[in-house]
Amino acid sequence: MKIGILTGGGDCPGLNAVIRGVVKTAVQQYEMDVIGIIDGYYGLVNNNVMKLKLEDVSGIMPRGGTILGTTNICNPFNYFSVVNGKKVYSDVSDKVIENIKKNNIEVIIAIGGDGTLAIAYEFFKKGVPVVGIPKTIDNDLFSTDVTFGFDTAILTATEAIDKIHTTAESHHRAMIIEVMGRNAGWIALHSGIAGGAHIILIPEIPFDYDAVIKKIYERKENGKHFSIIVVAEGAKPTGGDVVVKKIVEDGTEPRRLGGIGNRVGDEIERMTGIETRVTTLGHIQRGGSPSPFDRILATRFGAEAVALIAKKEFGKMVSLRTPEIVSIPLEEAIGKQRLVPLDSGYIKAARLIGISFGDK
Amino acid sequence: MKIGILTGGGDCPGENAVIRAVVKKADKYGFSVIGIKKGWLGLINGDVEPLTHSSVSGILPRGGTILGTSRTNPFKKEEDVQKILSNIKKFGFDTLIAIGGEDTLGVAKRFYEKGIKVVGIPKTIDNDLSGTDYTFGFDTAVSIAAEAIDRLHTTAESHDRVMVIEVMGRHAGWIATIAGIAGGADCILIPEKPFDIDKVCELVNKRHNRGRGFSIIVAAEGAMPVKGTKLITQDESVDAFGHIKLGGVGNIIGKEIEKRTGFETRVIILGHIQRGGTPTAFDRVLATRYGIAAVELIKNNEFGKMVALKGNKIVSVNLEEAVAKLKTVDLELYDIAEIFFG
Repeated sequence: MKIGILTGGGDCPGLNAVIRGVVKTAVQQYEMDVIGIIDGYYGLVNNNVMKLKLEDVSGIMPRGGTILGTTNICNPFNYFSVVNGKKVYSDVSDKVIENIKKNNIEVIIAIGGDGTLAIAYEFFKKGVPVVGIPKTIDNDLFSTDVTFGFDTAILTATEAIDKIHTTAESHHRAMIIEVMGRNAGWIALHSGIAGGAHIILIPEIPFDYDAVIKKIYERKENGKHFSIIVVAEGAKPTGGDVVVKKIVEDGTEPRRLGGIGNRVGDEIERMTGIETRVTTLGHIQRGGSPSPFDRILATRFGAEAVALIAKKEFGKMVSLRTPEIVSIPLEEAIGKQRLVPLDSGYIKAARLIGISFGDK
Repeated sequence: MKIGILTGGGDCPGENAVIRAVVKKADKYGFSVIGIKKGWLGLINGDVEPLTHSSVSGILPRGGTILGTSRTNPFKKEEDVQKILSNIKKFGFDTLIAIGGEDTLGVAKRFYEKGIKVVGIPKTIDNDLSGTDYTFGFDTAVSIAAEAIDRLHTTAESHDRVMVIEVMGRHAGWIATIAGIAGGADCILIPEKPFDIDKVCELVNKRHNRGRGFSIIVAAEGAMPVKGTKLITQDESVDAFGHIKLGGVGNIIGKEIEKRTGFETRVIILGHIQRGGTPTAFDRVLATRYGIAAVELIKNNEFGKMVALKGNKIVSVNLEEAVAKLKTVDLELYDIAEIFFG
């Protein structure tokens, strides 16, 4: 059996641990070969692959990113190219299948978020055996309890909030930290609680500036002259829209968000005169060495994906149903987001200790 | 002897370590220490509190300053100067310890000229004060920036991207240079060396042609393009000392690179995480030594001076000398960094 493996979408701490898990299990337990596909589906369009041997994955566990490279702008079913200076979209999926055959790849392991897994499912429908491994920093995939990379992201965000705390305290400022989270506020919610934020703004709960300011004043009255506000990039005021940083036409998610932190900062400063500073955490959240939790989860996902292949169970995705790793059909897994439920225990606990979500 | 102590300007990891050392050492001599809240503003408003062993217990590892800080410049209003002089009398301060950068120490120097016995302790995250080899807080900032570069490296590598990291450094590129060397930057842009955007793009292209699809570019917030004389600013608002609030050069560089090379580029502005958090061991020790040395100066009746690090010795220099000019990046160091460009 020959496995082709690819990583798609945004990079994520733990990807290398998955690749290592796959190669070690495949080579040592089942005597299978593993072919690394470079830069996600691009590697299958352009036939850019390399054999992965045990020594190729040696020492990669603590490294962030992915040794295979990745992209979030390649969909072989709607492939973007420039012909005679004009943008053209075409279906190159047959070319992909040709390249899969050319390399004698019998099954594809696709590691990625909803976009990557949906493409994998399309190939499965065209007869390509595939197994999916869920990956998103945002933790917003419906069909798994948690994805690797999330724990590292909230660790990085919490550490940053801790650092900003000391400046906020010293300067009597309102400090705003914008974290990742387009549609789901998991990173903001978790790092906000862990970092001792006073206000957390998430996409699931539209906020009112009046309520935000009320909380800041309430703290002032109690002698606390600073406030820490954690904002998910997809947060929006009641009746308002998200803040778009730029449009990437060919991206799987064309609207790149960013800037709500500055918007909230400006508004607080305008309404209260309190000095405000905004820090946008950005890419440091998805970089760096994965936490032990993420390394372990990623390793388990990798090993279990190969076990599925050994049992010839294709069209499935591995998933964590704590404490077990299970498998579910890709068809059921894709297209569903896991947002923060409004009756979530996390939100309840946060409210109980006095954290405001900017709602009334 | 009654010592008033204040922290001014931007906060900086290690300030609490200084305060702690001053209080502990002063106690050995039987001096009392009074904390002044929020920099010079606290002396204008008479906002002070005595500092005891218990108030400085446990603050060594904490970032920020327990005294609070502000960028208030009392010399903007004669009335504020008078208020400060009368409050110094009212509280019975025999001497003031001012912890701060060129602005705070500049104010201290002017009060010294008015007959107030002051001692300065240099503080700047940017390491740009002349008269001292190092300031505390800088080592912590550099560690944080280097760690952030490490994190961005993995994403840059995975996505074949150009990453532009904007770090602090208004007029001097110390953080960019040192963190850039430590983080293995492919290009470092600092205020001391106006950059040619064509050359930067050339470096990125050269790497690409070599099969290195990603590049890490570290830019100080005060980095400037050649010929362009105007600072690139996000907004033109200025603080009480007339400094333009900087920020935005990273975004400009990112857009230029993306436009000129066609490579996907991302910009990360590190911002305030650089000046927060627990100080490194180096900064804790340097800050502690500064605090002790400041009290020694007071004991020896040496005023109008600032403690400083020269080589590995703590010495004292005249405040005048300390704030006279900016300490810019040693270009020999930049030459070292340059070997790794491209």
